[in-house]
Amino acid sequence: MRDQEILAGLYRTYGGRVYARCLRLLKNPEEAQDATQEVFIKVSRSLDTFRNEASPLTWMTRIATNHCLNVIRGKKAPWHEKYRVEVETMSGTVDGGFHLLEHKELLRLVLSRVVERDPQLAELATYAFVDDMRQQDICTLVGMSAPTLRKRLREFIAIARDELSSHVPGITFAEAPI
Amino acid sequence: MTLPRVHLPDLPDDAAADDSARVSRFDVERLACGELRGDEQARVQRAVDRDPALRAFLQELRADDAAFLLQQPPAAFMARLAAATPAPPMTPWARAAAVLGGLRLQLMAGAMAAAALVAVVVLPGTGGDDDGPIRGKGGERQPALSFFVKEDGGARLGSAGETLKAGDQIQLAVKDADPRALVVIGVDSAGVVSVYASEETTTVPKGQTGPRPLPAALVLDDVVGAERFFVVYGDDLAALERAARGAAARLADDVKSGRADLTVTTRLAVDDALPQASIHILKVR
Repeated sequence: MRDQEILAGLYRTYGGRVYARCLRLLKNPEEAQDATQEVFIKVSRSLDTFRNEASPLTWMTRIATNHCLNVIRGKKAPWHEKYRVEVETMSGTVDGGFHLLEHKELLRLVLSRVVERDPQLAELATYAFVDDMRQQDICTLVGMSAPTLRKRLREFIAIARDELSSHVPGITFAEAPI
Repeated sequence: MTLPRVHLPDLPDDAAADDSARVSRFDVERLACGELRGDEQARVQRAVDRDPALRAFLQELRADDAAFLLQQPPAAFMARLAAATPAPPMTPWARAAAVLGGLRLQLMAGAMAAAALVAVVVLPGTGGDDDGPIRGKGGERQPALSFFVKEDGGARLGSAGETLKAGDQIQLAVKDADPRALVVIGVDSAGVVSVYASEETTTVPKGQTGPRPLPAALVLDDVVGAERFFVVYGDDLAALERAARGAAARLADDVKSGRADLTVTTRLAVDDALPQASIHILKVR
């Protein structure tokens, strides 16, 4: 099969998935379109490798995630103000508090901060907490042992706690999870 | 202001952390892409069949993927790829750059088409189409009803008032909204009323973005003139459908008697509390 046929087939099957992932992380349709294009450029440069991939989705997910996290890293924003606004918007709307994983925008803000200082940790947290991947799948994807992965994810949770505590005065946490 | 309490994710001890049997959303994504085989495919499919949340997620994925291909069709992508292929001295990078240059144009064209549709449907006082009061999470106005025109190898977003021929295929797409039910109904210049969708929307996962194409494409018949499609939202599906059918039938009577013009009439005469939107096409032979 010719390269262009393979690429078009990948686009048909995975284009929507790649775009959705980019949109989820970047929250901007134009940026997500550009990111989708960049992902397929990278794919086109590695078609020989793709032919042997059991799960092109997994590989393209990794390319898309890292690309989007790099885009996020290149931006500067008033994080503490955004944190506060996001937390305050939940006031009175939920009983018993809310879970960070269910507040995708707040989670994305924390990820945006983490990627500045530890891109790999942001990547791992994206797979675990945004994508809901199984830990064993993440370990296979990034070549990491399960205990190491969990240690790293606990680091992320600790950073999330510190970030929110530092920038949202008066915030409380339901429990000490780590 | 009292801030809500935040629950952070928890991770079990290593000994209890084996999640290999769990079916994740990523597994469902792989299922949707056709990557799973044999026992793994059966395991994930069983979980989807059992779990309404996973089932809704799979439906959302399929709808999103269909919408993506309709809005960003691969036809131009392939054409530019083929055009780039005959030049043998090109390096792999140059070839990819040429091909994906086409993709960039295609993506931009899709975005411009979408923007054009929004511009058309929200213009007030023009006798144009009515976008209705559907707004996105950020408060931005979103097209509640749109359509795609099928073409060789893909589809493109149609324009309000677009002229189409008998035999052309279109696919209506709706924006799901907070009310629990929606009805999509059409009235043509011969006064024929057709219901294209009548469904609950409660299974649509939160966070779904973009229009949701209706499952079936429509092949346009040879009745010439305007045809207008309406989407009406409400909380009680049965009552909503009755109201929409009744209003559409009255409009159809007015069209047949010359009292109404489908290029101008943008709303069905239903309760003002029911959000609605419409878009029309012009059919020619």
